[in-house]
Parts: sequence; C-alpha cells; structure tokens
Amino acid sequence: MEEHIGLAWLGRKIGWGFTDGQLDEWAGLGAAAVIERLVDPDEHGVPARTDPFADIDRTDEQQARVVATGIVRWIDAAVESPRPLETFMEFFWSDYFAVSGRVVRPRHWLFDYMNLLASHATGNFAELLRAVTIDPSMLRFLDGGTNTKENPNENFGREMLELYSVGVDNFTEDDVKAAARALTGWRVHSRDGAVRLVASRHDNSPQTLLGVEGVHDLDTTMAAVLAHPVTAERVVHKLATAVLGQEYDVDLVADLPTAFAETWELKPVLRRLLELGVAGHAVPSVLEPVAWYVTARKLRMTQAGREQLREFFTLAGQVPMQPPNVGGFPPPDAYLSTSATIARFNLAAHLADQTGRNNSRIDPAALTNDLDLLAQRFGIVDGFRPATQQALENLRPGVDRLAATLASPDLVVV
Amino acid sequence: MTMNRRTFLGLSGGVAASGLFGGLALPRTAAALHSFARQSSGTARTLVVVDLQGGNDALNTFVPQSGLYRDLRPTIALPESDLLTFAGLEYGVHPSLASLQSLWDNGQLAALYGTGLQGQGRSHFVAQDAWRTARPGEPARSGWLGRWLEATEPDEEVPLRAIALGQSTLAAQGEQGRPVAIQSVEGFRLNPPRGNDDVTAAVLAMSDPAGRGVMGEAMAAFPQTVEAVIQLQELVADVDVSDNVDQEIDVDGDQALFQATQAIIQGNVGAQILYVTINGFDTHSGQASQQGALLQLVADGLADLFAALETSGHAENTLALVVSEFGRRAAENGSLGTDHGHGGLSFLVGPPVAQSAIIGEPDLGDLADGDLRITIDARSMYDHALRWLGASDEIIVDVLGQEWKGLQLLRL
Repeated sequence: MEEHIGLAWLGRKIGWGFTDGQLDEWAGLGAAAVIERLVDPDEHGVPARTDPFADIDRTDEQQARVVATGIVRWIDAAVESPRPLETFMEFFWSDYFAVSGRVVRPRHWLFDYMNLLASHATGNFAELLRAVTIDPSMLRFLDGGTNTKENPNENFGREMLELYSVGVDNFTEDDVKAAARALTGWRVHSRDGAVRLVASRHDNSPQTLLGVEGVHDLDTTMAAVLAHPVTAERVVHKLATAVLGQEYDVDLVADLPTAFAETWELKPVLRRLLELGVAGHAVPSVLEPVAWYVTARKLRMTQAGREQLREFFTLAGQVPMQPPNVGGFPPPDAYLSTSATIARFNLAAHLADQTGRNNSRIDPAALTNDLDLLAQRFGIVDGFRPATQQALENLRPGVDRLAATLASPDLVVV
Repeated sequence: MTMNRRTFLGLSGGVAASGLFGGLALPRTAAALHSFARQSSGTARTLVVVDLQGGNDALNTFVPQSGLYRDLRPTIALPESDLLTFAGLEYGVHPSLASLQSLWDNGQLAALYGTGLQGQGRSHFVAQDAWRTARPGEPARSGWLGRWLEATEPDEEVPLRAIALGQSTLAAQGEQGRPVAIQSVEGFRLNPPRGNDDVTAAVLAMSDPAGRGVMGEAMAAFPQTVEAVIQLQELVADVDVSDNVDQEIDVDGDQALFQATQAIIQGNVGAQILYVTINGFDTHSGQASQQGALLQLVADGLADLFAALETSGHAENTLALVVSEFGRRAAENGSLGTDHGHGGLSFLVGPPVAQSAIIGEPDLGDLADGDLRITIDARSMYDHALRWLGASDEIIVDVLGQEWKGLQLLRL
C-alpha cells in the first residue's frame, strides 16, 4: 500500500496526472521499475519526444497567435508525453533559465528554445548551461548578443552568476564585469537565429572570475562557474525543491552536490529525488497551473481553445514560455491567489460544460458516478477529503460534479 | 457566460444560512454592501503603490541639468529639444510624461531622487525583497504593507482591504494573509457551468476553516475568492472607467490595472492598499522605446486615475506612491541601454502632496561604483505614507522597526 501511495504521488507530482489505467500499470511494474523508465526511457524503448511545434506556421505575421498556438501544442504534447519526467524537467528549465516571449523577437524562437531545453532535460547540466548561454533566444533576452568588447553589457553575466550558478551572496560586482567581458562577441543573426563568435567584438583579455584567473571565453567562463562549490549545491536545491516541495528535509540530499559536481549528470540526482519522494519524503505543495491543466486533460475531456487557454494561464499567473521576469515563475504558493483560484474554477467549469455538450470521448456522468473511482483516476488513493466527498455527493453525477471535482482543493495540493 | 449578480448574492445568503460556510462574517445583501460602501465613502484613505519592476532609469525620467549627464550617455541621453519643461522645475522631463504636467502644475507631484535601502545590492530580487519587506538583509516573509494591515485590523472583516493588481506582491503579504489579486474587473467573476451556483456552493463547502498547512491554505483560497468576487462585482460593476488605451503602448494590457484601480476606489469597496505591478523596466538594451512606452503607460494611467477621482470626489483621499527597486547605471552600456544601478527615483502623486517638488538632487560627480548613491531611505517614504494612512508612532515602529521621520512632502 505504501508503494501504491508513493506511485500515486509520483504520477501526480512528476507525471502531471494519470491516463486511464496508468496507476494500475505502474503498480504492476513496481516503484523501482517505474522510476527507471522515467529516468532512463532510452534504455526501455520508450518512444522519443517529438517536436510539438513542428507544424506551426511561423510565417504568420500575428506573432501573438503563433505563440498562443505554440502553447496549445506544447500542452497537447505534455498530455501525451511518453516521457513525463523529461516534460517535467523541460518545463523546470524553462523556469530556471527563464526567457520570455515578451522580449524575444521573433517570438517563435522560443519554440527552438523549448526544444533545446528538452534535448538536455535530464542530461548534463554543464552542457545545458553552455548551450543556453549561446542560445539565440537567451542572447536576445539577456542582451548577450549586444555584449561587446567596446561596450560590455552586464545583463547575462549577472543573471548567470545570481540565478544560474553561485547565487547572490557568492559573487562581487567585479565578477559580474569579468563574466560579461569573457562572454563578449557572441552575435545572433536576426533572420535565422544563427549564432557565431565575432573575434573583433570579443574581449580576449584574461579576467579573474570567482577567484579563477585567466578566464577569457565561453569555455573558461563555464569552467570557473562550475568549479565553484556552491553551484552544485544550488542546482540540487532547486531540483529538490521542485520535486520534493519547498520545505523538504535538506539533510536527505546533503551528499548529492559533491557527486553531482563530478559529472553534472542529472539522472543520478533525479533518480534519488524520485526515490525519496516515492518513499514519502515529499512535502505537500501547490500544483502549478500548467500541471493542474495537464492533469485535468488526462481525463480525456474536451480541451480548451487557444484564447481560453491563454486567458487561463494569464489569470493564473503562469503563461508557458512567458515568465514574468528573468527570475522565472513565482513560487507555487502564488497560485492560491484569488486570480488563480478564479482561473481554475472558470476553466474547470468550461471544460466540464464543453465535455457535456460535445461529442466527447467521455461521458461526465459515467466518469463521476463513482467518487472513489474518480479519486483513484486522479491518483488520490485515499479518496477525497470528507468535506469534498460530501460536497460532491450533493451534486448529481455529470457536468456539475465534474466541474466541482476539478475545482476542488484536493486537486491543487500534491 | 457572465455571473448573474442577483443569483450569486442569493446563493451567498443561502450558503451562509445553511451554515456551509461558517466562521466568516459576511455582509450578505446588496443593501448591506451599499450601506457599507456609503460608510467608507469619503472617509477612508487609499494608498496606491505603483511598482515599476525591473529598475526604472531615474536619469532618463527626470533629467538633471548637469553636463556630466550627456558625457555619461553619449547615445541614450534624451535630446534637449525633446525634453519637457515643467514650471519651476530645474530638470528636463521625459517626453512620455506629458500627462503628468497638470498634476505638477496643481502641486500634486513630488519626486524623490536617490531612494533605496542600504545594502540592497544590484540584484533585482534582493533589492525587490528589501523594498517590499522593508527589512533588508533579513529573510522576512511579510511585507511592510502586510504588517501594517495586520497591525490595524478593522472591526469588520473587509476582504478587499488590500488588493494586488497584476501580480501578487510580498509587500502586501502579512504573516497570515495575502492580498486579493486582481488582473481586471471584467475577468474577476466566477462562471459555473450554465450559471449553476450549486457548483460554486459545493466548492465552497469543501473548505474547512480548521484546515492547516498547505491544504489549509488551498481550502481558504476559494472562500476568500468568493467573498472578494461578490463585493467587487456588486460595488464596482457599474463604475465607468476611463478607456483611453493605446494598444501600441499597452502591450501587456496593463492599462486595465489602472482602470481596475479607479473602479475599486470609486466603488468604495473598503480598499486601503492597492498595489499595481508593472513589468518591463529592466532596460539593458533598446531602452528608449521600452522605457518611453512604459513611462507613458504609467503617466497616463495616473493622470486618468486622478482626473476621474477628482470628478467623483475620491482624489483628496487617494495617494499614489511610485517605486522601483533601483535606478540604473549612470553611464550607458553599449546596447543602447543601462545596467543595474543603485539609488533610484520614487514619486508621490495626488492631492495629499503638499507641493510639487523634486528632492534629493543627484550628484553625477560623486557616484558609487558608477551609480547614483542612495540618499533617501525608502522607509522614510513608507513612514510618511503610513502616517498619512493614520499610523501611530507605535504602529510605525511595529511595521518598520523604528520611526523614519524626516520627509515633509504630504499633508497628513
């Protein structure tokens, strides 16, 4: 039973919900095997991710529409993802290395950025950091593309130190200037996004960065940042917070940073974190709007339209590919705001209502007739809380009960 | 589908009567709400904080006459011919601030140069936390406005007492509660399937006031939301808001935040704190167009707001405080922008301002690591604004650790 509870947590938190019968399938495999399949899908013949943005017409002059379509496609792919941990991590990195479609032009470059993050999602952090640093969207977003020998721009250098590596108390203003200088000269071709290093714009003079001398280019910058012991600690902490919740027990992962810093391979860290979560060490936290919507979609309900979805994510405060600022999305507690609560309730109502009207693959009455089965379907293995159970029993099975279930607090906390 | 107000209020009465939603005193009927609104109308003061997130460039907002300004900014200095002149002001004014002219002429605009908190650094997040908690260097979980709200609990629960517009804010977060968050008045509605309020009532009934931890917070979210929706829609739905939106300027739809601010004040919903967050001031590149559009959005938003409040008789009791986590580097960078700086620029706007002025003249010949120095502690503005809201010495100490007297820009 305990393993069942652990698997239910794993599916809700990391998998963003269950498709029909998936929890039973997982129970048959056992927790160890499920974690292996999530962490190492290549080893188990799991189909690869396909580019969710592949068939979008990027030439559409209405770039806002292109991005809105991209969000729909990305969510669709998340719902169908054969590799839910990689999807979870792709979204995690889009928050960690936040780049916003409010700034990047053309906005569809964000699709390539998401694909880049996906290709490194559970791979190697050192390679990911290097790739992100010279990605065209990032070079645009944090001005790396206009950072030159003549006129250094500190934007990327500062955020790399503060947000991507050593953190705020572990670098000086001189380190910011050194990082900026060492990363001068990268240029983005505005038509096709091709990136190259222009020697005449690059300052190759040796800098001292985080105590490391002779830093003068991309590789030496990466080496200096990765050599600092706090970098691994901070990345592990961010990962543990995302997987285990904000107030997780830090002693449980105390040994991880040292091993991580030797290879920067993410899989061993993720494997360990998933094992801890399945063993009951996760702390309850608020499910973010993207995860909540994907969870709902896995009931095979009618999906929200492009504008509906955009409005939902905007009100809820988490528009994929459009974090509010360089720090990424707000912490999960923010999604209990009145605005986010309205967003969830109204979308729950809309989804249930549409599912009741259209030629839906599911019948709301059949789905919600047995509340125990319905709770199981969401991976709430102990059943709904008594107050929720009572409130749902007071509604007839069907659209109303489905809407109330989706809007229940039981679904928002995992 | 929009909520039918009458049926919704009917539902609320039913829910309260059936005891499904105990523990909260609710002014349940439209009559009670309007009576509440009348009581609060004309007497309650409202502080509107506008947070220019990202770090607004002070030197290109009110431009000092010093020749050093043009030396430091060979390409992004605003051309002399573009600058506006406000009567009696020794600074050039960014052309996008034209709509502030009448506020200035009416003696309702005070600007403070060199605002900040010592030790706030040059990180957005550390500086924002310092400004919002007013406890620099401490891991505070509450904001200065949140602590003030909790230190001055009203007799009757007022769900819309503190409202965050745009995104929630640590500044208005207390040790226990968080502000109501509103994106737009139009979108602040609950739309159950086919308008069936039974669904709303069912979700309300899922909340257990005795709940603890994250689940307790999740359960509390819906009742708080319902309460806020009822009051806001009942009191604000009929308020006409100025509709002066320039789509080119307002790319993020932020004008709606100023419209909501106006509607909330004119609706007399009992809001004492409105906190408007505007993103996008982190202008490391292409600063001219970005900052220009944002400044115009804010200036037009404030000018329209106070014009409307003047007409409705609310202006005397409304004060706007415009803040930003830091100013930007005095010298430009090579990307037609500016990097993170230190001392910033804040404004106080509205009839409570005693007279128009700019204080704290920046010294471009005496920079701190290339940045304007912090010469006015943000907490002295907070002290000033909280006293205007009626805070006693004791409450000021409670909220800000000590008194921060000194500014005399407001009629208290």
